[in-house]
Amino acid sequence: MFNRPQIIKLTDYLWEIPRSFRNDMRVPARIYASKKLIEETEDEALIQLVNTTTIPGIVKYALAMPDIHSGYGVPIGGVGAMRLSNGVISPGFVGYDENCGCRLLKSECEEREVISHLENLASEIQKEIPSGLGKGRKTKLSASEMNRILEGGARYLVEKGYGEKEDIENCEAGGRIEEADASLVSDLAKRRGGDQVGTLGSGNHFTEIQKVAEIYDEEIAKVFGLFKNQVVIMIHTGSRGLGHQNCTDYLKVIIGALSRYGIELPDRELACVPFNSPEGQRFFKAMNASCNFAWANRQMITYYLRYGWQKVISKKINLKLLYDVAHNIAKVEEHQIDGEKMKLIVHRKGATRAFPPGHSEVPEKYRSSGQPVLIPGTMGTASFVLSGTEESADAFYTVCHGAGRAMSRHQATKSISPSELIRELEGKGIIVKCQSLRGLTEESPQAYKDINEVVTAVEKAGLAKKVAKLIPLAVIKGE
Amino acid sequence: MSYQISVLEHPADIRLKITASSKKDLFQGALKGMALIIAGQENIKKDEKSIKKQIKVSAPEENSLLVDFLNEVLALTDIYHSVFPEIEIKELTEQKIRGVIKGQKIEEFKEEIKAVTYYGLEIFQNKKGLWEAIILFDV
Repeated sequence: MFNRPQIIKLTDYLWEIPRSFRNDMRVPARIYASKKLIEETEDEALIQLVNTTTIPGIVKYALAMPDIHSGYGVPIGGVGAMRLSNGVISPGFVGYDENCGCRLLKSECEEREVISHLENLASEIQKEIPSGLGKGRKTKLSASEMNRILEGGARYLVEKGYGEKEDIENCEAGGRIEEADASLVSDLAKRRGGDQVGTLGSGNHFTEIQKVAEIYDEEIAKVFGLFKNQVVIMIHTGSRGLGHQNCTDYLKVIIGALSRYGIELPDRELACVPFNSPEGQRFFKAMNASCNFAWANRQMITYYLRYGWQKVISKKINLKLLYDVAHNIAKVEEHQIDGEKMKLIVHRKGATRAFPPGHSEVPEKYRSSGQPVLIPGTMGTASFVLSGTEESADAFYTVCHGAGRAMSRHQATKSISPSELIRELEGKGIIVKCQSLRGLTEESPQAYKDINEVVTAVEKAGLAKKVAKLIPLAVIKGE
Repeated sequence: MSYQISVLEHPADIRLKITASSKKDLFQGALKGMALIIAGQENIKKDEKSIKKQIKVSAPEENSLLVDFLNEVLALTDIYHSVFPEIEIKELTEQKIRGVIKGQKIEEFKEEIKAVTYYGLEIFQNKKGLWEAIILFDV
């Protein structure tokens, strides 16, 4: 049981678990959430957040976003920044799906222009983009191609003709982190990912055809190229088996190295080593390679989406990338700590970076508005586009990554039948393409927190500004 | 061979409890539990063991050994698009397992397990002398 009376309310949307809560805490823990969301948060997630505060070199606070829920080690929705000089890097704080993330593609069409072709478009997308489960893509990458993708990311694929210049400009890190070393990714990981570039995966991963249902900020929407009733496509996936294996490999190495660095932790999934240690640097470069693989994966999916769009909707005007952002990653960033600029390794596990206007890492065209932030909803519910704000400096410019689970997969499959769920979605006019009916019910909206409540908490806490609301027209989950 | 597999509640992932009469059965039960998550009972053909792979895993201690063993099988599952519900154990010590995993090609995976985690991992012998393990799978 978590001793909830010890949680201090700082504002209506910010809560603190003080250092006095447990002797081994190095910093306080803070949760961005409404009263309702914090009440809904399970004890296990709060204990995991307190455990996160014990990681060496952590500065200011261990943070949780409004979609916090329990995972393993660090809770999902957890954020922690460590000093580069004496802080650590932790594979478990990135998670097993390194650079899981979202990208949003914009069309020039309104819903009424494509509505009669939607069914065909959804079928074409389902055919072109396999889930990769059981079967991958037909072609396997050669060893040299794999290494180029690991070090070149989405940028390499664009150079090979699988995208356009804007795909690089509008992607976090330009779709490639330079400090990546393919030789540090194991053969097993490379074999696992060999046929997975251009595949979605399962679980909550999806492609969704959506329309812009509401604009909250006309000015920023204009900068982002969004307008009411516009058809957009959202992709949510990550580094697939390659990333999962990479995290598994390095977690094992790092657990073995804990005693060498005198690190004691309450949970093995928190295992970490000094950022500047040989193990830390090897993991950092291997994780970056895996992140590049994920950007390449989302780029290849974009390539097939564009192919489907051209085939079914329009040969002339294609889909443009609004933005692509990671939500499972550890990155070196500069932040103000006690009035001084400091380089940190910022871990975000199920949390999205949201840089403010004027930040040098925000693409030139969005520099005045702030970084586009993509928050996917759950199947059948709304997703949101937001923009980064200066007010979220205290959260290392971070927002949530989704709605956050509220019910187990097991419980979800028991609480609603697939036919009921399909009827419910179709009743809302949503086309559903999903191979596994069980997979569908596991991801039913009832299994998640209310996305509207979560996004409202994000905005009220000052973490980001709402720009547009997107609602689904068709959900495609795997082949 | 005797073991029991039960599903425990977890909001995001899948947590299994394996109870077995011996340590060998515990490893076998955990392997079968993982195969059931991946493929589902209905997709696993009984007595079909056409895919066989040698496996050898070592770890610093017993708890890690179970997780590392399952993670190794998980990688082979992805690579060979096969599910492995059975193992013929040739050697099992506190730090090492060696044997042959047996399974079949599979057309459709039900669930994608990202990894077998060390989170909340417990392996112990209960008062009745049965072996128990609680394992969290990241899905």
